[in-house]
Amino acid sequence: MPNAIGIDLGTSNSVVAICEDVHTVPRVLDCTQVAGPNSVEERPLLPSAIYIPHPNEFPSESLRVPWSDDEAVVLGHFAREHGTLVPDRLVTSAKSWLCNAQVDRREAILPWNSEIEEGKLSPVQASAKILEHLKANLNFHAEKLGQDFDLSASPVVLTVPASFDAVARVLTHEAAQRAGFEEVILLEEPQAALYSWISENKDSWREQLADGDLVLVCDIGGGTADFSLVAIGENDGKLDLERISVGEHILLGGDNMDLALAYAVQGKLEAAGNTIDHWQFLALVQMVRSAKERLLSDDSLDEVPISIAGKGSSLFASMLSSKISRAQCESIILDGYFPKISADERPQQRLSSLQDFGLPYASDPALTRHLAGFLSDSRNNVESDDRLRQLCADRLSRSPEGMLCPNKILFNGGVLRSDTCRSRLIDVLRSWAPSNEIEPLRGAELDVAVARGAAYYGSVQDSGSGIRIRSGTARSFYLGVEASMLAVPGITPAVHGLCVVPQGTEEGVDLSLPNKEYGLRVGETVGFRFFSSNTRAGDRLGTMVERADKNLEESPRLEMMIPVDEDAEVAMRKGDLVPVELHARLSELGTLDLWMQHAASSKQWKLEFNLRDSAS
Amino acid sequence: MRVLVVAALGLGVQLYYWYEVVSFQTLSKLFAAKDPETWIEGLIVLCLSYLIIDALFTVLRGAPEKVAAEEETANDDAASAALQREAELSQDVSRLKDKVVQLETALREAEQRSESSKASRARSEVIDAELVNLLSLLQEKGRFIDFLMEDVTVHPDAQVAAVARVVHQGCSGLLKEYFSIKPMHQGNEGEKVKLETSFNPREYRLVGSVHGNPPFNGTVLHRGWVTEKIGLPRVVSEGADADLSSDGPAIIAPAEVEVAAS
Repeated sequence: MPNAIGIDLGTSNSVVAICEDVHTVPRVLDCTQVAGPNSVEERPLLPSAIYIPHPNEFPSESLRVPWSDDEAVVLGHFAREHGTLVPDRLVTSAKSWLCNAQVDRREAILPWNSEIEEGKLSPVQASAKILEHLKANLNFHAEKLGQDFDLSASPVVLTVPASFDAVARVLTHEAAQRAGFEEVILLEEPQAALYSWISENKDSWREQLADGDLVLVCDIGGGTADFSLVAIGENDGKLDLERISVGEHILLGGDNMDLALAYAVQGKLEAAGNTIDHWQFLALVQMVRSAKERLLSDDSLDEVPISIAGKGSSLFASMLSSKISRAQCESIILDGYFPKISADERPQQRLSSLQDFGLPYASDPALTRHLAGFLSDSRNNVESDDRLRQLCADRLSRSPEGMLCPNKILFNGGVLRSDTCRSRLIDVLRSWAPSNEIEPLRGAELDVAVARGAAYYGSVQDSGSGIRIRSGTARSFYLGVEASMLAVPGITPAVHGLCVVPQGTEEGVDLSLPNKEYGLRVGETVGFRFFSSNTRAGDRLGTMVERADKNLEESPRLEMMIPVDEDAEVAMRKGDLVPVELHARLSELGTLDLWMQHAASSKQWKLEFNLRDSAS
Repeated sequence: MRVLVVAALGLGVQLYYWYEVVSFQTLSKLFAAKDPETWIEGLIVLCLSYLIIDALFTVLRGAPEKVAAEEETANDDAASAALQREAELSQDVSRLKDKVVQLETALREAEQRSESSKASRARSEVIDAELVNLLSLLQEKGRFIDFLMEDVTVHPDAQVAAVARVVHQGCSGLLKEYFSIKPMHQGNEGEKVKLETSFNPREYRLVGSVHGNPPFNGTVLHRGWVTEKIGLPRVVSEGADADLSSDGPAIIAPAEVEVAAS
C-alpha cells in the first residue's frame, strides 16, 4: 500500500498526518517540541510560533529538541507561551507574511517591527524552520511508523490556503526545499478538508452527495478564514467533484474573537474603577478563551466567572473578578463575527488609507459579510463560463440574485468546533436561499482534518485509486500588454491583460499562445506586468481583458534575461534579437511555471517573479 | 634458594613501586574529586593497596630469618631441609597469590556496587527533577505554589473563591492535558459493594472493621481516582544535571524581571 505524508503548515498550528493504508483514516503523528527549559513533550499540534531567544536569556543547552544542538530558535508550544511575554522575539503568522505582497518575502523582516539585533528571519526562512522541525520529527519518530514506511520514498503533500497566489505557492515550495523536502505536492486546504471527510466516510460519502450538489468548505481557524466551493457532477454514472471557486485570503479568525471578548471584560473592569496592566490583560485573554469555549459548547451555562491574577506572587493583592454572560458572549461573537445580514451586504472596506504597514488584517470583522462577498464573486465566476453555469444550473436557480448559494457545507477550523457558531452560519445561509435546504456534512476533529486529508490525497495520488477533486488553477493569469496609442504627456498608456493561463488549467498541460512571437534582446533583463483573477472562469487562452489595472489583480512583475552564450548551437551574442514564444504550465507540484521558448531551438528561459521591486 | 629470595624481593620492589604510584594517583584523584562516589572508590583502592603491601612485607620479613636458620643446619640435612623450606616458601607465595586474587575480587565487587549506586542516584535524580517539573507546571499554569504559600485565613471567602478559580482553571487544565483521570470505582459513592477474593488491594483500600476472609461487603466511601495516561513533559537529562545538582536548591519558578525598553 502506498504510504504518504500530509503536512498542514498552518497560520497558528502545524500538523503532520501519515497514511499507512489508503483504507484507514490517516493518523496524526505527535510532534516533539520544547515545553520549557530542560523539558520536551509530544503534542499533536505544533504551534507555528518561532521564538528567537536572547543568548543570555536561558541556561545554555536548555532549549534543545532531542535531535538538534541548534538553539538559535525555539519552535512550538513554549515559543508561543513565552513569546507573548517577550513579543519582540516572537515570530507568528509566518504564513500570512508569505502571501503579503507588500514586503520582500525573502528579506529577514520577522519579528515585524522588532528591535532585536540579530537572528531575524524572512517569511520564507520562518516557514522553512517550521517544516524543518516537522521533518526532523518524522525522522525522530520513524520507529513509530509502520514497518515498511519508507520516509524518503513517500510522497509529501503540503497544504496551502486556496487563496494563495502563484508567488506564495512558489515561496512555500521554496521553504519546503530549504527544509530538506526534495519534492512536495501542494494541495489547497479546503480540498484537503474535503478529502479528509471522504476518507472518514469511505462507504457512505457517495450516498451523502448527489449530482447537482454544491459544497461550501468553510474553514475558520485561529487567524484566517478560507472559503471554497466544490460542485458535484456526474460522469459515466460516477460522481465527479470539481472545485469551482476559491475566496480571498481573509486575516480573521478565532484570535480576533478572543481579543474582542477580552476588551469587553476589560471595559467592564475599568468602568468599575480597576486598572488592568499589560500582564493582566494577557491573563485575561487566556481566561476569556476558555470561557468562550464553555459558553459556546454548553447551553445550560448562563455565565462564566472570570478571575485574573497579576504577575506578582501574591494572588490576593492583584486579583480582579468579573464574569461573561451568555448574552454578552453571543452578542460579541455571534453578532460581531457572524451577524445575520441580508444577501446583498458586502464586506466594508477600511476608508482610511493610512494603515500600519504590517499584515493586511481584514477591516470588517463580520465573517458572514465576507462569505456573502465570496458567494457573489463565485456567481460572477460561474456565470462567466458556459460549462460551469451548466454544472451549477440547479443551485443558480435557487440562489438569490448576485449570489451562488451552496446546499452542503463542510466545516473546518477550531472556531467551528462550536455548535453555536456552526448553526448560526447555517441559519444565515438558509435565510439567503430558503429553497436550498442547506445541510452540514459531518466531519470529525476539525483541528487535524487538513493534515489527514493531505496524507489521504498523497496516498490516493500515488496508487491512482480513489476519487480526485478536479481543480486545476484556481485563478486565471494575464500578461500585461500596453495598449498602442499616441503618446500624450502626463498620461500613461492603459494596460490590457492577455490571458496566458485560463482558470482551471490542469496540471501538466503545456500552454502557449499561437502565433505570438516576442523579440527579446540577449543580455538585457526584460520585465512583464502580471495579473490574475478568481472571477473570470470564462476567459480562454489569448482573451484580452481591457484595463487590466482596474479589472484584474496585479502580481509582482515577471522578469527574465537571455544570457550571452556565444558557444551555443545558435550563438547568443549580446544585443541580438531572439524570437521567443511564451509557454505556461501548472507543474505536478502545484506551482505555476512560465518560460520563454526559443523558436529556433529547444532552448528555454524561465520567467521569475521579482519580489524585491514589488515590495514598495 | 637464592634465586627464589631474589625473585621475591624483586616482586616486593615492584609491588612497592606500584603501591607508590597507585596511592599517589588515588590521592590526587581523591583531592580533585567532589562527589562521594569517587571518594569511596578511592578509599577502597587505597585500603586494598595497603593490605596487599602489608601482606607482602609480612612474607618478606619472614623469609630472610628462615634463610639464616637454614644456613646453620645446612650441613646436617641440607637437601631435605632445603626442599622443605622451598615447599614452605612456595606455599607462602601461593597464599600471597590467593590473597591478591581475593583482594582483586573484592575490589571488582566494590567497583560494581559503586557503579550501580551511581545509576540509582541518576534515577532518583531524574525522579526529583520530574517532581520539580510537575510543581513548576502547576505553578506556571495554575499559580499553585503562589496559592499554597499564601495565608488564606486572613482573606474573606469571596476573595479566596476568586483566587481559587484561577488556580482551579489552570491546574485542572493541566490535569486534563497531561493525564486522563477517571474514577477508580465505576459505581457511585454510598453504594454497597462486594469485594471478591480476587480483589486488588491496590485498587480498594479497606477501612472500618477489617477481619475474616474475603469476599468483603462494604459501602463505597470514596470512588478513588485512576489515570490512564501520563503525558507530562519529559525532563531533558543534561539539563537535569545542570539544574538539580544534589547539593543545590531546585528552582520551581524563576524570578521574573521585566526589562525596560532602553
